[in-house]
Amino acid sequence: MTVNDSNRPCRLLIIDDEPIVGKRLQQVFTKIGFEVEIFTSGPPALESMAKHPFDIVVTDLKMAGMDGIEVLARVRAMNPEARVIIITGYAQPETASDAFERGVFEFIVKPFRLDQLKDVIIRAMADRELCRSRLNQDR
Amino acid sequence: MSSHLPPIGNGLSSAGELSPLSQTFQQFRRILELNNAVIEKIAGLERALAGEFVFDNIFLQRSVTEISELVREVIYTLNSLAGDRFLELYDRFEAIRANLQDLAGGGQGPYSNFLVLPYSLLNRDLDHLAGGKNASLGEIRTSLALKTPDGFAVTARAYYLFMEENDLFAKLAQLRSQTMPPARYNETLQRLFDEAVVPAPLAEAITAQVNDLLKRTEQTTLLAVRSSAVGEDGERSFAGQFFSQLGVAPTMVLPAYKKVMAARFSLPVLAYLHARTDCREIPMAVGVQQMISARVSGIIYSRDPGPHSRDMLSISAIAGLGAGLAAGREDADRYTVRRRYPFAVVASRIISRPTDQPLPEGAKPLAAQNSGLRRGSAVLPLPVLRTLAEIGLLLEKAFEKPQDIEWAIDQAGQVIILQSRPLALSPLPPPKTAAVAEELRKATVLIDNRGQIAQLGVASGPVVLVTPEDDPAAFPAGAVAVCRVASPQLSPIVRKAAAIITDIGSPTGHLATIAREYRTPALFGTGNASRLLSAGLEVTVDVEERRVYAGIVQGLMDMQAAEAEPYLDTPELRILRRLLRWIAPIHLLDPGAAEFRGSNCRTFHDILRFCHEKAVDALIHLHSSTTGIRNLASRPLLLSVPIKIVAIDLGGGLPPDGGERSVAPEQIRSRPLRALLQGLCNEAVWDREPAPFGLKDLLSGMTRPLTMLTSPPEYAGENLAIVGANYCNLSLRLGYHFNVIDAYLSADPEDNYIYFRFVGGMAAQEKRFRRVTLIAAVLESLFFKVDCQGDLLVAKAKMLAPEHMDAILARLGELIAFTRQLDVRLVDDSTAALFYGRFQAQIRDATAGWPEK
Repeated sequence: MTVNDSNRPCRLLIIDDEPIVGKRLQQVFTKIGFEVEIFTSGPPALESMAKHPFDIVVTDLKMAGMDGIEVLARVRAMNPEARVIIITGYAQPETASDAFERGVFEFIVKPFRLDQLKDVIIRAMADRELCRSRLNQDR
Repeated sequence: MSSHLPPIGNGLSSAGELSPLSQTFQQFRRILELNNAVIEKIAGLERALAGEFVFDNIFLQRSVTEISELVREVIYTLNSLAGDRFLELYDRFEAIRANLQDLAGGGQGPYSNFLVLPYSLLNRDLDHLAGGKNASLGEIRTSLALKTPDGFAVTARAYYLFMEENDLFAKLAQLRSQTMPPARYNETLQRLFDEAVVPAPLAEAITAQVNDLLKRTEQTTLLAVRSSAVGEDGERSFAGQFFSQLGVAPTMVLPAYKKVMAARFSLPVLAYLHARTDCREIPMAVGVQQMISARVSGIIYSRDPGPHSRDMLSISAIAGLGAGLAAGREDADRYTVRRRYPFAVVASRIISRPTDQPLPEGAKPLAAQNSGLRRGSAVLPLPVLRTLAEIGLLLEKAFEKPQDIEWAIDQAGQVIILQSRPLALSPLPPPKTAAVAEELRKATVLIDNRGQIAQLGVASGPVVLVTPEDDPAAFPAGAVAVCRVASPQLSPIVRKAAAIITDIGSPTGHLATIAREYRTPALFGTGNASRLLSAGLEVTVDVEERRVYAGIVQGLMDMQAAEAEPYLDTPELRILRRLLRWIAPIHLLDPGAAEFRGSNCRTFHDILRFCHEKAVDALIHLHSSTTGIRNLASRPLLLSVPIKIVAIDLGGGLPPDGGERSVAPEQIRSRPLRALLQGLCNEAVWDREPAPFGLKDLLSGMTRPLTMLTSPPEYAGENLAIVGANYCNLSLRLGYHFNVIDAYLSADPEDNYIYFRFVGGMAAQEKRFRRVTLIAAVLESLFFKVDCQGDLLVAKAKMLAPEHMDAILARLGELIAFTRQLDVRLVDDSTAALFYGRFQAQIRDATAGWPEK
C-alpha cells in the first residue's frame, strides 16, 4: 500500500474534463494503493477537497469554467502541503512558467506514458514528506 | 513540414553535366520520407489505442491534421513526379479528410446521414446510428469471426425522418397528455402508426436493402424485423421491453417496421423509460434480418447469475427457434457449465417432451411415458455445449462484460449468434483498495516492467506455450498463450486466449491489431516470457503494469469486473477507433490487380501504398522512359553473383568515366552501396542450384505480371542504383521479390538512415506472410523499426554511427540474397525458421557491444 507518514493511504485527486484520463489514472493508482477520486470539473473537486484533504492533485489545464491554473491557486490556498501536477495537451512555455511561479509541482504534456506520471507522483510524495519532516525538526 | 533529407550530391553527374534526374529523384526521396513520417504517425495512434500512453482529444485532432498534411504532400509529390497522372487521388483524399475531421471533432461520421446500413458496414462504434443490437451483431460478424444472420439496419436517422414527416412526436405528446384507459391508448397508438406513411426515400432504401439481402442469401424467404434502440443494451437494459416481429414476408417489411416503431411508445415501454423521458431520446433503429431456420436454439449467460456460481456459465436450449424462451414462456433444457476449459458440465436439467414433437437430428428418442411425454433427451450433444461455452467467453471478453447471448443452430449445424447484450447482473461491489494493494504486494511477480502494451487488460489462466504451427482447435479457450514471435498465424489462438504474451513483437504489428479486435489483453516484446513462464502454471497478467503474477490474483480480477464502463468504451477511444478505420487499414494489396487504382483508395494508408508503388514504378522506368535520362550514362556494375545492376551517379558515387563504362565493386565510391554489395555478393549466401517450383506456388503467382514467370529470376525486371558519395538508392527485383533500399551514410550519425522495403515473393500467401514475419524479426534485431502489412514490409533504421551502418547494410545485403534463395527454393517453414534463427544468432554476435537499441 502507498502510505504517507501517518500511515493512511495517499489521497489522489484527478480533475480532467475528458473522462478517459481520469478513468485510466484511477485504475492504475488504485491498484498501487492510492485512494483516488476523479472529477471532470474543478468546483465539485474542490468541494470534495474541502471536506477531506488530498495529498496530490492532478489537474488538466484547459477546462471550461475553472481552468487548471485556478485549481492550482485554490488548492495552494486551501492546503499548501498538497502537491499539484498539471497535465495538458497544449504545451506552451509561458503557461508552464506561469504555473511554476504559482507553485505547481510538475507540468506534464499529453500524451504521456503512465510511468512518467507515476514517477512524478512518487517524487511529489517524497517532496511532501521531506518538507513535513523539516518542518517538524524546526519546531 | 519541410524536408529533412540530407543532400546527396551536387546535382551533377560524374561527367559534370547537370542531371535532369536530380529533381525527379529528390521527389522520389521525398515520397519515401513522407511515407515514413505517416507510418510513424499511424503507429503513434495505434500505440495510443493499445494503451501505451494517456492522450486526449487534442492529440487526436492534432494527429489528424498532421497526417492529412503529410498525405496531401505525398499526392502532390507523386503527381509532380509522374506528370499529374494521378489527380483522382485528391478526390479520395478530400473525402477521407472530411470524414476524419468530422469524427475528430466528435461528429457522427460519414454514415450519419444513411437511412439504412448493411450489417457488413457495422461495428460496435456505430451504435449511435444503428442501435445497440445491430451494432453488436455487426461487430460479431465483421471482427469476431462468428456467424450472425445477414441483414441491415434501419438507422436512428430513419427514425427521426419517419417520426417527423408524420408529425408523430407532436401527435404522441398530445396523446400522452390525455388520461384514458390503456386499451384506448393502445388503440389510438396503433391507428397513429398504421396511418403513418413511411417516407418515400426511406421506403425505397429499405426495399433496395431487402432485395440485396434476398440476393445475398438465396434460401431466405422470411425475415425478422427486430428493435434495436439506441441506448438499448447500453446503460439501460431493455430486455423484452421492445417488440420484434418474426417470420415477416419480404413484401411486409414496411408494415412490420411501423409496428416496431409503435411499440417503442407502448405503455410498458414508456413506464420503463419513465414518463419524463423525451420521445426524441432513445431513437428506435431497427434490424431487418434473414430468419434462421433453427434446429436448436437457446440462451447463454456467460456468467451464471446465481449468487455462488460466478465460475459457472449457464446454457439453455430448446428444439426449434425458441422465440418464447427469451420471454420466459417456454421451458428448456438447462446446463450449468464450468467457465474453464474443458468446460465440464456440473448440472443439467433435461425436460420431458411430448412424443409428437420431433427431436433435432442426432438426439436419441427415449421411451414414452404414460403421461404422453418422452423421457428427457438432451437436445445438445456435449461438444456443442463446449463450443457454446467458448463463444460465451469470447463474447464476454470482446464486450468486456458478462453477456446474455441468444443463439441458434441452423440446418447446416452452424452456430449463429442472434443477439448479444450485457447480462443484467447486479454489479459486484468493488474490492477494497487496501486489500487489493496488500494482495498484490504479497503476490509473486514473474515478469515485471517488460514488453510493450499491445492491448490493455487483466486476465488469468493457465500458461500454454504455443507456436504458429499449432492447431488452434487444440488450444484450450481461456488459457494464457505464451509464444516467441507475435506471428499473424496466431490470430485464431488470440481469439480463444484469455491473454497473450510474446517474446518478440510490437504494438503496431498485425497480431496486436487482432488482439485489439478481440480485446484479448496482450503484452508483446517481453524478450523472454516463453522461458520464464512454464506450461500449465496459473498466472495473472496485468498488461497496464506490464507485469505477470504467479497464481490468480483475485483482487485484480474483481477490480476489473467492477468497472462500470469499460475503459475501451470511453468516448475518446471510440473516436480513435473510428478515426483509425479511415486511416490505417490497407485494402489495395496487390499492385498487379485491376482494382489497384487511385479511385479505389479507401483509407490514407491505401493512398500511401498506391503512391509509393507508383513512385517506385516511375523511378524504375525513369532511365528508359525519360529522354534526358536515357542519355545519361548508366554504368553496369561488375558483380560476382548473377544480378545485373546499372548505376547512375548523382555526384561522387562512381569513379570518373575514363572510357571504361563498367565499374568493379572496389572502384565504387558510394559508401552505402559498397557496404550493401559486400553482403549481397557474399558467396556464402548464394546457391546456384535451379529452384524447384510447385504448382500451387505457380498458381498463386498468376496474378503477378507474367514476365516474372517466364523470365529467369535473375533477369526479371531492372535493377537500378542511383548513388552519391554518401547515398545509395537501389531498386532490386531479385527472384520474385521486389526490394527498395534507400540509405544515407555519412560521418554524422544524425543524418544517417537506412530504409528498406520488401514486397511479394512467389510462394503461397500464407508462406509469404510467414516469411515476412521472420524477416521482420531479423530486421528488428538489426536495429530496424519494422512495419508489416500483408506481405509488404517497410523497415527503417536511423541515427547510427557510420561503422554500424556499414555492418547493418552488409547484413541487409546478405539477408536479401538469402531470402531470395529461400523463397525460390521454397524450403519448408521449419527449415526457413531455422535459417533465420541462425542468421539472427550471427547478427547478435556481430552486434555484441553495440549501444542499446
